[in-house]
Amino acid sequence: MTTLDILFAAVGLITAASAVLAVTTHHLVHAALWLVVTLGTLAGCYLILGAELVALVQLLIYVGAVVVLVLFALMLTRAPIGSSPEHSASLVQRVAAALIGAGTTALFASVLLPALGGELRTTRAGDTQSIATQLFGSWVWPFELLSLLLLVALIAALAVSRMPTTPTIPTTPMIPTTLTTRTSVDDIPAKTGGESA
Amino acid sequence: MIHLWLPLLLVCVLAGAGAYGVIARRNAVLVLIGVELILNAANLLFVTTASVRGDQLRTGYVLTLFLITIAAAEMGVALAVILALFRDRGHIDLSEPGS
Amino acid sequence: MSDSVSLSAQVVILAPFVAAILGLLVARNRPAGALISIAGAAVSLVAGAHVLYAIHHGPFSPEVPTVGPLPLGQLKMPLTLLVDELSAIVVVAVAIVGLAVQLFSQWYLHDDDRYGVFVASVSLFLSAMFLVVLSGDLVLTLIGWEVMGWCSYLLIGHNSRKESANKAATKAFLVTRIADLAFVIGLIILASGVSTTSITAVIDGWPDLPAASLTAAFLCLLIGVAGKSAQFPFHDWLPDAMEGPTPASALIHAATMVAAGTFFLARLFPIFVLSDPARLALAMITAVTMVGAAIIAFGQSDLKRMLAYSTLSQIALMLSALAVAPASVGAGPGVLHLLSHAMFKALLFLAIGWLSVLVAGTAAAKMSGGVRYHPQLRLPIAIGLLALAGVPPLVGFVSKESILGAAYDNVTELGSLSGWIVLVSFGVTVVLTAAYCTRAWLVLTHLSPADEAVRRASLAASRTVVDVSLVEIFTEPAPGTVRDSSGTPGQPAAEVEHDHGHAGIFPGARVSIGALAFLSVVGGLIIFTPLVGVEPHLVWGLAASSLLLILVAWLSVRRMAAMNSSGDAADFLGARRIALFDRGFGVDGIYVAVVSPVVRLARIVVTADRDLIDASVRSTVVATRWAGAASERAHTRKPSDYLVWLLLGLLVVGVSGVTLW
Repeated sequence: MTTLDILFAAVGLITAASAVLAVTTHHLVHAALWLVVTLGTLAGCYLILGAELVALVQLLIYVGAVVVLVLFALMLTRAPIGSSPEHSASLVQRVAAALIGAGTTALFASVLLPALGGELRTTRAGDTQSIATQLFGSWVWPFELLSLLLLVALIAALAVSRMPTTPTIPTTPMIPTTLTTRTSVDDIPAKTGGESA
Repeated sequence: MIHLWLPLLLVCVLAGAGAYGVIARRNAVLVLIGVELILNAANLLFVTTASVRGDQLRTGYVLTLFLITIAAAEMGVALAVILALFRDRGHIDLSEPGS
Repeated sequence: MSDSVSLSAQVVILAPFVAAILGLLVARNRPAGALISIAGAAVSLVAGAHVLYAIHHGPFSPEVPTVGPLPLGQLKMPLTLLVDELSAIVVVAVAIVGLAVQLFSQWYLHDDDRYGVFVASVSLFLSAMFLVVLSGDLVLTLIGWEVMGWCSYLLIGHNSRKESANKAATKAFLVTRIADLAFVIGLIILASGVSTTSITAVIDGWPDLPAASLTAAFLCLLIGVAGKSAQFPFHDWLPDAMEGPTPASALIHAATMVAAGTFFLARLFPIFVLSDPARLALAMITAVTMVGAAIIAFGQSDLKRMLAYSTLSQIALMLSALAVAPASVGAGPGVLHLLSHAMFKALLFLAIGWLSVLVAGTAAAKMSGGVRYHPQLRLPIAIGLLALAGVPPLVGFVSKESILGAAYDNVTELGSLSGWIVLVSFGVTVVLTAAYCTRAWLVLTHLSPADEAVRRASLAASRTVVDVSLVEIFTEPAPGTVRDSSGTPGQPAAEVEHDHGHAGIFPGARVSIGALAFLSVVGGLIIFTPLVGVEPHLVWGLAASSLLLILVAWLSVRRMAAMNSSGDAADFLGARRIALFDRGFGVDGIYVAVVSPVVRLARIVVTADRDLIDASVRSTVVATRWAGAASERAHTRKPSDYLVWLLLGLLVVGVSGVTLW
């Protein structure tokens, strides 16, 4: 066991545990918070593996932005505070889920561990400069394409959220007042709020 | 120096937990959390392999960065879809039959 | 000199064509339409006469360019006209008949609201016929041939408000189209043999090529000719084409469409004579047609249809001349009969058309005694019928005797089977032709006892019945008894208006009938000119015996007619003959017998297509719908259920990928 091994084992253990908790806890908000822990410790794993840039981006985007989005989603859908076991599926489905999850783990393990698992390898550190060079050199076109993707996603998210979703409303959806009222969260019918509470 | 079975095992666990989360949850946001876990397993695998057998193009790292960006975009669209779903149905329970 | 011939030959074709287009533009304007159409035909006549004069007086080049040759790789297509003695004389004959028809239809159709369209069609028809006659290229022949077929459809179906006219037009179109298929194949064989469509090259080149191919080509062409010239077994459309207005019938029967087949074979005669099987086939076809059509003609209850059947018989006669004439004689006798037939048949049709206007109908019963009450028609109809029967010295006698001479030459020189076939059937046809001509004349001059009494009464009122002479036809109606069909005798001769609202005949129409009558009388003299290239050649024994046969037929038909109160010799045949003869011995039945199995087969194919092939295709729709409905019912509409299956599927794919690596 090397120092890095021990370090990774400690951080990885936390990651794995919080990941399992994130998918099993009955508190919706807790699930999101356990996800924060998982993503954060995963950044630590990246750091141990010598990928400082990736670790920082992981913190910045995942922990900083994605988790915020998840929390927003939970809040906007009136997620209940406290334990809510009804958000888990039926027992049969959970058993199936466990089997499939275990199967997935076993499948990956059976492929990855025999292929690479036995090796003791040196990690390369301080590689940020060459990554940057490659990213804005060789990979510049995919990078630009990705920025286009982000733009499209932005517009798509906007379009989806402004879309009139209930076809039972016969009035023309092009009337601006209708649109603004329908896109606002306060417009959600009161009875649904009562249901989820 | 590091034994590679450690990060690889973490990859396996993350993927398995993600798969479980996708199936075992009824709330759409929680399903999304499972999806994020699977994505992160992929990221970790990229970084692991890249850190031990780096190539000239730094493919592993760069693709990880791309994946993170794509995940952010995906998350934005998914949030919009979930909100639209919620507005339409009043709930985001995936085990309820749709109309 | 040669340039002016070329120009005239082109004008002959273009003048009626331009007249047709202009005529369509001014179709609503009756005087303009009449002027244009008559001018078109007149210009063609003048130009044709110039061509005829020029080629007999001085050098000329027979090849006249049109739109220039078409370069088509190995196939040469010069698209030239061919001007020679044969085409020039036929052009003049066609132009005379065409002009007469145009003049006549100005009067005949004077109250027809579609007169403008009619004369434009006639002009186009004439243009197409001129193209066929002057064509020096198989492609031009085909173009003219097809345009003529289309125009005949238009003309026969002119009274398109009449169901029977539509049917007759469709029938003519279908029958000639089917025959044209074989015609096109024959043309292709001819053209492919010599790699050019030039007719002169075809005539020059084919003697060196295999006789079997030549026979195949001519058998195909014969089918097309039989269709266009209405020979057995394609003859049935022509009597039905009587549904068209009488001027159209005169045009189709006398000079243009049915004569086109004869002319085309005459054009190719130098190589047609090389193919004995094809000539034998033609001899048999024509023998059947000339005898059969003459028999049917005798029994027709409608005089116009009788003329139609006589056309069949006479066309068969001219084709038979081509089938038997030895190479030394050439196509002359056939062409001579074509010319003479054009004159006397146009005359007969126009005269009968005139009479039909006067008595309001073409049925024999209606026309009975017609000539007696309308004596201005006595001479034209008499001339026409005598020429048709072949009585000397009219033009029909001359042309028929030359055909007889050709057949005789064939029998004496070659002794071939076709010569005997034609000779025998000719003899039978002479008797039959004379018989039906006599019958028609007796019907037209018949006086029923009641009419006889009326006539005697009018005679008693000191009205003198004066026979008309040829001169009077040109000038004024006879001052004698002119009876309109209301039955009041002794009316003054002013034919201002007939009882059924038809205007009195126009001078132009009267002149055209007179001119045709004149040509039918003196046309026989053409044989002493170099215009047709037929040697005056009379086989005295045959001529005498045919005259004897005519006389016998005349006497016996007179006797038959005298035994009937109606004065119609055909009544001698019995009451059921009308149905039998009017149906043309039920040849339609043969068509039906041929067609109905095809129709049944088509029905079976349709059923199989719809209920087997289509059904199997449609069943996929049903199956897909059913599967869709079933899977829709099976769907739980719960996304999470399907996430299970999705991930399970991914897992299975992954596992199988790993294990099967």
